[in-house]
Parts: sequence; structure tokens; C-alpha cells
Amino acid sequence: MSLSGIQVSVMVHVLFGVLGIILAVALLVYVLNISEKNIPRIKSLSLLTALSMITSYVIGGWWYVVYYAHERDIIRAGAWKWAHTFFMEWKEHFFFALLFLSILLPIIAYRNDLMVPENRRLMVIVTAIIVLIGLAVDGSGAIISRGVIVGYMGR
Amino acid sequence: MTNKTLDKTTIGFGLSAAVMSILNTTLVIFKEMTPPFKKAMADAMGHHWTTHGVIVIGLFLVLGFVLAGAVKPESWGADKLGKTILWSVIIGGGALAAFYILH
Repeated sequence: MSLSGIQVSVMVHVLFGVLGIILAVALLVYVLNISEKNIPRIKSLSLLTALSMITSYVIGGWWYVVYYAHERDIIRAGAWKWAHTFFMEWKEHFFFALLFLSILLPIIAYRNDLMVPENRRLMVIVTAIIVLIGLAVDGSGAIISRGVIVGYMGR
Repeated sequence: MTNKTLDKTTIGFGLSAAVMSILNTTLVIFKEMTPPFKKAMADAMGHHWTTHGVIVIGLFLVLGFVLAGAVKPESWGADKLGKTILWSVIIGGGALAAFYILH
């Protein structure tokens, strides 16, 4: 793949991750303002959040396995080697928790009565965790990107 | 009339997500502390992370279906399940961060 293609694929990975976070925030707003009218929208948003996170995982995972090694070596040789040794290592593994909860989200939405306050609280907890993990891994991604630049600057 | 009991599939996959958040961290620590195991994971599918993903996602799905079939809905309310998921993610993510800070 061309250099541009590789960089675009990383950006598409990030875009789907950010889209997943935005969808989860919208879902949170609808769940906190529940009504019978909002339920079809809540179901759709839960499904779209899951699909967005899964797409981000597949594209990001492919890029990580096939192309990341070169960037990893640059980061590790630079002053911000912790951008890989902590942030990438943490992000690449903790992302699985985000994936599990994203898959759980539509199961809760489609198979339970969300007009019941307890069920709604479960939905709020899972969605809020998805938003928080999403922001944490997104921020880690930004640090990793800067780690590459710091690595190049030190050469 | 509203149905207050959680659906069995929700409980099964909710518990599976909680268990796998912890097991995911356990597998990370084990493979990082056991280089031959990490190498075997890399040899199995070309990259240790690919094998890691197949194991944890596969276990999440299997465990989800098994627990959905085995669980008693009356023993798992939505609040209890929510707290279990929250704490497992905090423990799993916190232990993973602590491990990589100290490793």
C-alpha cells in the first residue's frame, strides 16, 4: 500500500472511533431523556455505536499488525518512548473492554424494557464507560502520534 | 405492564464482558511475563496481538452464550450487573495501566 494509503487508513480508524464516541454521547442523551418515542432511536444508536467501534477495531487492528512496527521503532528510539511502552501497550489491550461493552450495548437496548429505571441505569453505566474509554484511547492515540514526531525530531 | 427482570442474554453477555475485562488483563500480564508464551502466540497467527484478540473475543462470545443459558434472571438485577461491569472495567484497566507503568 502507498504511504498515503497507510496514513488514510489510520485516519479512517480514528474517524470511526470518534464517530463511535459521538454516537455513544447522543445515545446517553436519549437514554437520560427517555420516552416511548425515543426508544427506536435508542435502539438504532446502540447498534450504530457498536458497528462504528467494531469497524474502528478492524481497521486499526489491521494497521497495527501490518504497519505499526516501523513507527514503533521510531518512537522507542526517541525521547517519548513511553508513548509506545505505556500508551500504545495500554490502548491496544484495553480497547478489548470497549469492544465487549459496545457489543453489549445493542443487546441491552433491543432485549430489555428501557422504561424500567433499573434497566435504564444499566444502559447509562455501559454507555458512559464506552464514552470514557473511547476518550482515553483516543487521547492515547494522539500521544502516540506525537511520539512519532518527537522520535523523528531527535534524529 | 413493564418487565423488570433482565433478559438472560443481557445478563450472560454483561457478565461475560465483566469476566473478560479481568481475563484480558490477566492474559496480557501472563504473556508479557512469559516470553516463550508470547512467542507462541505470535507464531500462531503472525502477531501476538492478533492471537490475543481471537482468544479474548472468542471467549467473550462463548462465555456470553454459556452464561446466558445457565444464569437465573432473578439472581441478577440491572443495578447489580451494572456495578459488576463498572468495577471489573476499573480493576482491569487500572491493573493494566499499573502493569505497564511498572513493567
